[in-house]
Amino acid sequence: MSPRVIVQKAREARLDIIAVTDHNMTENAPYVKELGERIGLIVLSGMELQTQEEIHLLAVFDEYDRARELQSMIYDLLPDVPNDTEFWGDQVVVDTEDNIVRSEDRLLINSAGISVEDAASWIKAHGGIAIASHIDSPTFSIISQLGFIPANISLDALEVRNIDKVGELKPFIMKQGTPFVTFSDAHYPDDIGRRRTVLTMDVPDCVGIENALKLMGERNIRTGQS
Amino acid sequence: MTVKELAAALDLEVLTGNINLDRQVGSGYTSDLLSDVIANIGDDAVWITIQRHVNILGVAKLKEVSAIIIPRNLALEEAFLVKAREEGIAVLKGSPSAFELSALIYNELKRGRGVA
Repeated sequence: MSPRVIVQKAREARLDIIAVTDHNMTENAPYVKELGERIGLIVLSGMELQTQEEIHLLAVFDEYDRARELQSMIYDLLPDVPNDTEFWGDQVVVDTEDNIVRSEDRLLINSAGISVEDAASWIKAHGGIAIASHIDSPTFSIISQLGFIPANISLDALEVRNIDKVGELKPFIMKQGTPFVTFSDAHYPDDIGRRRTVLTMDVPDCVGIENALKLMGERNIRTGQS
Repeated sequence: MTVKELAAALDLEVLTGNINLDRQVGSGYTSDLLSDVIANIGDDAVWITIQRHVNILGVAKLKEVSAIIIPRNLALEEAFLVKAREEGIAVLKGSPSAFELSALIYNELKRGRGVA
C-alpha cells in the first residue's frame, strides 16, 4: 500500500476523492496527497482512531496539519505498549518513492484513552468530518461496543459495509437523520474502489462533504430511511 | 496447576485437543476489551471472555495466554477453532457466567497455592 500504488488504484477505480485513514496514524497522508495532486485526485488526510470503548472512528480533514494535530493528541493517549514487529509487522510511513521514512514503535492497534463522544467532538471542533466506521461490523463498531448508537455523538455519517441492509440497523440508532455511507476501507491495493459513496457538491472539500451528507440525511428522514 | 487440571476441576470443555494442556495457569483475567487485555493481563493467564472472533487469538498469542475460556457455553464458530488450533492457542468453554467462572478459577488458584 505505497502512495504510488494507492493513487494508481484510485485512478483505475475512477475515484474522485479518497482519504488516507491509517490506524491511529496520519503521516502517510501527505505523500499520497502529493502524488494525487499530480493527477487531479483529491486526497484528504485523517485517521481511523480507536476509542477507549474500542470503537473505530474515521476522522477526515482537508489539511494534513490538522490531521497531524489529532495524531499528536491520540498518540499521547495510547498506552505505552511497544509494537511487536514479529507479530503485527512494521508500522511504517512510506514516501512518494516507496522509501520507508520511519517506523512507529508504539503499538497502534490499541485504544486511545478518549471516549467516542469526545473524539467526535474534537474532530468537529477542528473542522473535520467524523464518521463511525463499519457500524454493521460485529467487531470494533459503535453498535458492537455500545449496543446502540447514542444520540449525543456528533457524527456526520455512519459507515456500513453492506449498504443494502441499513434498514436492519434502524432499531439501534437513536438519532434520526445521520446518513449512511460506504467506502473501500482498503487494507490492500485491490480493495481500493470496492465500495464508494457518490456525493454532489460545488467544492470537493470537507465543508462540501459535510453539507452533502447533511442533505443526504435530511432526505433519508423524508423517505423514511433514517 | 495446569490447564488440563483446571479443566478437570471445573468441568470445562476443551475445544482444541492437546494444545497447551500442560501449560501452567499462573493467573486469570476477565475482560472483553482487547486493548485492556493487552495492557493488563498477567503471565500464564487464563483469559475469560465472551469475545469469540479471530482477533482475540492475536491478542492471546501476543500475551502468551495459557488458555481462553468462554463462559455460558456460548457457541463458537468452527473457523475460529480451526484458527485457534493453527495458532496453538487452547480454547475451553464452561456453562457458568464470566462472573462465576472468575470466582471459581480464582478459588482454584488460591487453593493450589495454599494461600488464605
